[in-house]
Amino acid sequence: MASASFLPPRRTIPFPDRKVVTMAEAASLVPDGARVAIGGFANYQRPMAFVRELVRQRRRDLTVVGTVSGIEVDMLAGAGALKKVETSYVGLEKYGLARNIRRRNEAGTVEIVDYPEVLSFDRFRASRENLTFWPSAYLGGTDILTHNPDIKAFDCPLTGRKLYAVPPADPEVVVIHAGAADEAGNVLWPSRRLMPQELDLDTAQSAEMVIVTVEKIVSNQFVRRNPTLNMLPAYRTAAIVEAPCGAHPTPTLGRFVIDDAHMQAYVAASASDEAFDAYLDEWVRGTADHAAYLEKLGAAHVMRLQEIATI
Amino acid sequence: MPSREKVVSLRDAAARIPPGARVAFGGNIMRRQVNAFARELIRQRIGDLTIYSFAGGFAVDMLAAAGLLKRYEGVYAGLFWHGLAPSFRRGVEAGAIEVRDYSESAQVARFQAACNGNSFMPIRALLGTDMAKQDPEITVEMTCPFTGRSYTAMRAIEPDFTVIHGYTADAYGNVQWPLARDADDVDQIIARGSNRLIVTVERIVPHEEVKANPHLTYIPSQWVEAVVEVPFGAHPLACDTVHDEDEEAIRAYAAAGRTAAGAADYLDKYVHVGSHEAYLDAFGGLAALKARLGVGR
Amino acid sequence: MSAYTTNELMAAAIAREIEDGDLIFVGVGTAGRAFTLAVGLPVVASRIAQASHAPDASIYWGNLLTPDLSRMPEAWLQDAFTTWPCAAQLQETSQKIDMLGKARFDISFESAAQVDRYGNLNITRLDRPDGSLKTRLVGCLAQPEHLAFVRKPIIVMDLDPRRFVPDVDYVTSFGYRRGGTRREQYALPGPGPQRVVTDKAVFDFAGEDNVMRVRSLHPGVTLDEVTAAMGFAPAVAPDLAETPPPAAETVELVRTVIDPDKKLLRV
Repeated sequence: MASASFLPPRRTIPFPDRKVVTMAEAASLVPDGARVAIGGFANYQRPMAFVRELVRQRRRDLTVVGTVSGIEVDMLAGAGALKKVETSYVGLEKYGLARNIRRRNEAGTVEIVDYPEVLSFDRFRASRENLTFWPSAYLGGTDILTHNPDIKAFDCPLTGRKLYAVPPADPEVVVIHAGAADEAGNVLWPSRRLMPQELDLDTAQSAEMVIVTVEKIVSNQFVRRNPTLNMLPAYRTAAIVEAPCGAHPTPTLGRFVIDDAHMQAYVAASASDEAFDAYLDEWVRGTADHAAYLEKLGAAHVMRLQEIATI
Repeated sequence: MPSREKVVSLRDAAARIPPGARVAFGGNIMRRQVNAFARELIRQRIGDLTIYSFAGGFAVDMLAAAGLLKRYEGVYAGLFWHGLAPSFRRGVEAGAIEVRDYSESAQVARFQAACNGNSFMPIRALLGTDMAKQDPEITVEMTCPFTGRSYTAMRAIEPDFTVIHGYTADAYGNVQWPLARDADDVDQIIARGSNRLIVTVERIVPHEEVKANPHLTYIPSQWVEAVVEVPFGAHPLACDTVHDEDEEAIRAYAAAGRTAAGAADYLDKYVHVGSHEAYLDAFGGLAALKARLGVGR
Repeated sequence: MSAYTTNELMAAAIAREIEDGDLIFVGVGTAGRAFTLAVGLPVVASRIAQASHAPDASIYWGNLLTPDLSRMPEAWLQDAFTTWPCAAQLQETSQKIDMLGKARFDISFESAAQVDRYGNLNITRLDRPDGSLKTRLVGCLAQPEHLAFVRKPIIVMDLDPRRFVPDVDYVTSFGYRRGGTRREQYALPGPGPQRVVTDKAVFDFAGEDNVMRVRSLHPGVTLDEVTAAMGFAPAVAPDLAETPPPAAETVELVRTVIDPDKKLLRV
């Protein structure tokens, strides 16, 4: 039976022997060269504390499989940790283009494989359902086909019409940032949610190794009092890390707004390799861990980013 | 803001279905089958129907008893605790009803394909089974273009109409489901793949109530053609969280269905009575039913 | 203050394309002029239409269906969107993407780095003449799906010869034709882009080849000014008209009710 070499191998990474781990332990579950999905959407609710820890640990050659990508991918690119991203968008939305990845893509050191947004979501559905392809009927005429070698034309077995097979997302590791989880690994979702939170649910179902950083670890009793919020039960999670303000500078629904000033500083720093290296030295490599990062931000600054919970 | 109200009577909603139509029914085994709607189809003698469902039973059995069911495609047709679907079985054994049997994931794949606008979805569950050999128009074996892995391509279900029984809706057709409920239903996927969707609900509520909890909107108005207020529209089956199964009434139905004559008598007594309200009256009326099934207790 | 601004004229022109009952897909994000084109004009146009001939038109925004546009969030932040009153807040991404695949959207809005005479759009990359990568752009988002599945995609862009080009470098979304290959060959469910609303003129796609065609010039704009602002020569409608200016009541509505703080029509 033929097997295509460009499809990602399914790799099984051993789970940690306990559910609640440190950020350093969690990040060390991601090997160099791993295929990773990072939670959130655009520049909302990204597990940035985890991403910074990957940078501290000098991870290399990562492939990020995404849908609508933003600062998380740009930071990895700027840190030299990224080999490839498969996505429908990389940008900073109102903050403009993602300049680290753009520079490296134009220089040929980071590969960007383009998928239309809907298919970028469908790829995670395919993984969730353990399908090795997802059929699509509408790519004809686009240059996505010209430039993306991982999409393959075939004839519909029922209608004979030309269709396109899209490979599944198949991340080896999924990392998301959520509001709360208990020590057993049950993760709570807000009942009113937006794209980032609903997308996290889909993403989290696409892999075995699901790492969740949370604002707060809550009691199991709290989870039992709110069973309808337990959208990602313990058996679906491999590791939980407590990381308050762990999405900074991106927002976390119901907890923190976006840090506009820090985003501006990030954008300014991403203008050149040198400036971005200095940013990483100051904010990432120069802070020992997430606690040190928060300390550097300062309590007064973080408190000002608090959202008045309306949900 | 929406302005187009879509509330119609049960009679008018059913009258939209032409004879020979292909209709998808929502509901799952003992929950939320579109029984009031099926009874109205019977009253209007709309026949020659093809019904697609997930785990169906009660509604199609009534259609079978009335001689209106031409074909059934689903994962199950039965009365669960109460045995097989007697009239349906008789019709199939007599060759009067065509059947296509598919597994749960296979039938979901067919509904899902319609949601995407895809002609098919691939699945692995049917490989080697006789289900995959029933109908080459619906299933074809294929290989993954990447891996060569074998799959069965399941053709999309493209019904003319889809009928679902839900909980509450506003007049515009935003249909809401309770937050805490049994999640074992595929009604939303069936609705998502619909072409003309009719929803019967327990209760019509003000739009403001919907807007206060928009995350409970399970089927948005943009998918809905008509909405009908039909309290106890799934009776005698359950509309879980509103009322439970009426075991006494289901037992009586199953017993009556043992013979064709018995089934016909049942239809005369409970279905050919003029309206859904008259049907409820045959059980003593809505208030009595609620009291007997412990609604609000 | 003048009788109306170009933005108000464009919003009114878009509003006329909206029919009662239409479901309108509006994007999120972006800043500056791009925001006005992708979000501001569409939302203002939707409200103008709702207030006049299309009371049952509704929009989809993020994961919200039919948000109450008379109660726009004060701050454009996550929590504000989450608590915005609306008819439905979709709980799974698959609901949204299936709505695209099932062709449930009537109207969408497109802007691009490049558009060509056949309505092909490019938001992905700019190339050198030899086809090698010159400038990396954002990707493709759901734009391929819009041109494939939406009943009436409307391109909203400012005229600019660098953006209105004879041939796009990269077809992110297929319009009507590229080289000898025509849209029919791909059996796409949607009809392709229907209108181009710009700062100087409104276009449609006409003729056997569905080429971009000037349909109306904004008041005070000449055909020469339009063609000078394009990298190719558009077709011209035989009954070339003037784009109707917005009614005084419409302008009043925009300035006092819909967008008094210029949160939508920013620049």
